[in-house]
Amino acid sequence: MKRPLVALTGLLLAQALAQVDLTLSPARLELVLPPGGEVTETVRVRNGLGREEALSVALRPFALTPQGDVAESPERNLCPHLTTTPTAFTVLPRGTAEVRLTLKAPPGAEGTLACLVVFTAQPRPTGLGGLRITASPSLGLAVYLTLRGTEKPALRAKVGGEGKALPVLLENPGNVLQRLTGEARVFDGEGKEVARLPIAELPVFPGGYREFALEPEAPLPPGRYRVVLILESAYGRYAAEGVWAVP
Amino acid sequence: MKRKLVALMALLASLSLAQTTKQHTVTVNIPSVLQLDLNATDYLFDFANASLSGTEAVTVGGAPYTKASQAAYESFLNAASGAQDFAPTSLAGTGGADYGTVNVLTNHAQWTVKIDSISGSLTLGNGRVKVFAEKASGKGASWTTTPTPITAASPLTLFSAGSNGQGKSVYKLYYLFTMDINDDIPLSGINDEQITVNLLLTSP
Repeated sequence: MKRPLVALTGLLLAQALAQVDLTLSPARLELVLPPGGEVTETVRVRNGLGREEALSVALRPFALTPQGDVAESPERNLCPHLTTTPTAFTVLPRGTAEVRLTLKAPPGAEGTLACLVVFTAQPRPTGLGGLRITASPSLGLAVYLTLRGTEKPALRAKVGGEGKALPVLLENPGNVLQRLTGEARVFDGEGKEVARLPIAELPVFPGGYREFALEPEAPLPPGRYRVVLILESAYGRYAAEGVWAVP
Repeated sequence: MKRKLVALMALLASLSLAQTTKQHTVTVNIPSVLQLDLNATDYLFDFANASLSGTEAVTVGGAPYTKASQAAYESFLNAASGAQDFAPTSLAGTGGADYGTVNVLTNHAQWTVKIDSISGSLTLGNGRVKVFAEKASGKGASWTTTPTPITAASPLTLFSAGSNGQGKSVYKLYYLFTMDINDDIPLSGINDEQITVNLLLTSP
């Protein structure tokens, strides 16, 4: 008798676990259109739970902070040129809902524009009494639209400095989103490569900068190292060189 | 004659097999995935709760915090000084754990989870609610080094991966409530108040 009871308790605990389980696909959209062009894209929202999930959709202009976080910003606002259908919907238990996003590239604008499409689940009904904090989860779909023929790509990179992690500064004085992939190659005093620190899909917002540090998998012995940073985006390849002092 | 026919058929069969092999198509379909899954959606602070003894505590960021209850509150009033942060009396949906669990599942290097907005207001102020995110496993890092008022910034980043964030990452989410000895509580008490914290996951 004891075993089925344990199994039942385990089942109840497992059932108690997920209260919200939402998947967004794709995780973001990066589109290119000529000024005046139009495109419709489909985004899927999947509900992993065995009950309905009601979602609402909101649009918010954004920019990326130096830490790579999404922050509300009216500059480069794509939201007035983006419509979603529907704007509120219910995803069936373990079902998937499709949302259509229509973008119209505004004539006269230049470079990359951005809008965050936020899918928000309704707050969970709660009990009564006491002071209560409830959570309402959201998934944000970052949408970037670059106007073809108006791109002015640019990138300034600075690598090196002091620290256990390698300081990197990337500035984007251009007007397009730079999504960078590459690596920093680290050489010791004898010119022998001692580490490769990868960078993947790193976004730098037009007119913005990113400041971060690359941590090696295993700490490097104290010393001075020569570093070569090689990055690639849709607009070209970039390289920078510097000295890294590991204390 | 029969043998020749069999040989010819075998030759044709091998030729057709070779052709089929040449025309093999390999289709790869990998969806872009960004998944948020959380269990606790209801944290209750009940300072009138009579079933707890007042000594139950939850460890948050290495420090113990007493669970909210009538006995714990009276003991706080008895000490009569300063402010104290309390852990929730109970949580719904966690299967008994004293924290909520947030899972992020993605095949993208960068993502951020933050408190995007707060709706509703508490009589003692929403700044009385503190949040602490602790990494349990996976990628990224917590931005809360100590329990931080949920109003400290808007939005308030809880945890994120700036690079190599692919896979499943699990974070524990704690909320605390601050009581101040100088609070003048209305005669009717403070009961049945609620705020909603909106958690937003984005891959920028």
